[in-house]
Amino acid sequence: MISDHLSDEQFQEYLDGVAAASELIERHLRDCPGCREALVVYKKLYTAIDQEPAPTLPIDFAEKVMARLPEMNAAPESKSLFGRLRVRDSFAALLGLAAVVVGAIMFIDLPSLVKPFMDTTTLPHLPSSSLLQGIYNRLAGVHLNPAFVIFAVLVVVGIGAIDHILAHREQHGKPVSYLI
Amino acid sequence: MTDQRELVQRILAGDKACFRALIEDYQRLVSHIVFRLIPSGPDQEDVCQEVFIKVYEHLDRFRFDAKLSTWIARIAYNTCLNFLEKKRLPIYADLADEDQEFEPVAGEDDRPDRVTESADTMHIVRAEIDRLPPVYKTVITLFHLEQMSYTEIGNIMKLPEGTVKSHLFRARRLLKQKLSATYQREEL
Repeated sequence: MISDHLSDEQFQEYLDGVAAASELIERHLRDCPGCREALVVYKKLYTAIDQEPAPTLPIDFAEKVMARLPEMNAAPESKSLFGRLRVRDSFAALLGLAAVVVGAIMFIDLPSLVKPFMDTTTLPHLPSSSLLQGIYNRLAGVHLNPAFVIFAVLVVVGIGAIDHILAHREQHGKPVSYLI
Repeated sequence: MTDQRELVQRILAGDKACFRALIEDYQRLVSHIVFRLIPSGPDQEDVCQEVFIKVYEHLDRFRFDAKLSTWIARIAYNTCLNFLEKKRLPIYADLADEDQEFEPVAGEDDRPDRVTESADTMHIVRAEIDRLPPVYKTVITLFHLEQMSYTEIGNIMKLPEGTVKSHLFRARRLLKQKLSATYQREEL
């Protein structure tokens, strides 16, 4: 038995069709003109909300979105490293790695650089001045050697290639370099 | 769900036509949220486009642990909140001000003798919904126009089910109070 007027909660539950006591509410509505009036307002409100026309987007909306999609010729970028590597990237990566390897073989005396790190007992006695001297002598002996220029270009290409692969993707698919 | 899985997988494999189909399937849902939350103007369509671009960019993160519609609606809702935040428009303000005095929206052109009653009511209700805080607008829209459950709405807005229920109740009570007050003024 509902003695007072219906609460807003009861009206809403009744109209949502979830009121457990809908029979009691209906009985109350039969006897209470005030609540019937309030129900009319609620019904008008529900009708107005439910019948609101859907907003209309332009007919070419889908076209516009498709035109803005990043690199529509390819599938969405996978976030895994292997998923990100495509043929072009792989070629650039190999080129970069080749440049680094060639540079290491041609211009760096790897054994002398690696030795101090391999033999930790010799590390504290590393003659840093002799290492710097060695680098200086090497640089002084370059005299714009064409091979050095090629090496420099290869290094730049290599770094660029690696950066390209590691570049993460921002909004709208524009690759953003970690270096620039 | 199987159809959704196939649709997503085909889009991830680079099928453009499938993504276009996705846009057509969900543009009503997205536009309902965006048009409700973003003030009218060209920004509304721009934000709708942005939503679908985000859907495309992040589709590989969709794990099928919810409906695709819920996931897309969440992107739409968050994109709108980010937009409002960027424009410094109120998002959570006014939730506590629901009992404040209000000015009925109906103007000179809305007199009952000029428009039909139902059209007039719809106009008043729409205008009043526009004045609600975004959280209320979203709950009303998803519940009434998209027929979503409290659970789905909660997933979209990252709110507990009880809070969704409470927001919906308060929003409708507020609208009913405003509608009643407008009718009373017209009777005077």
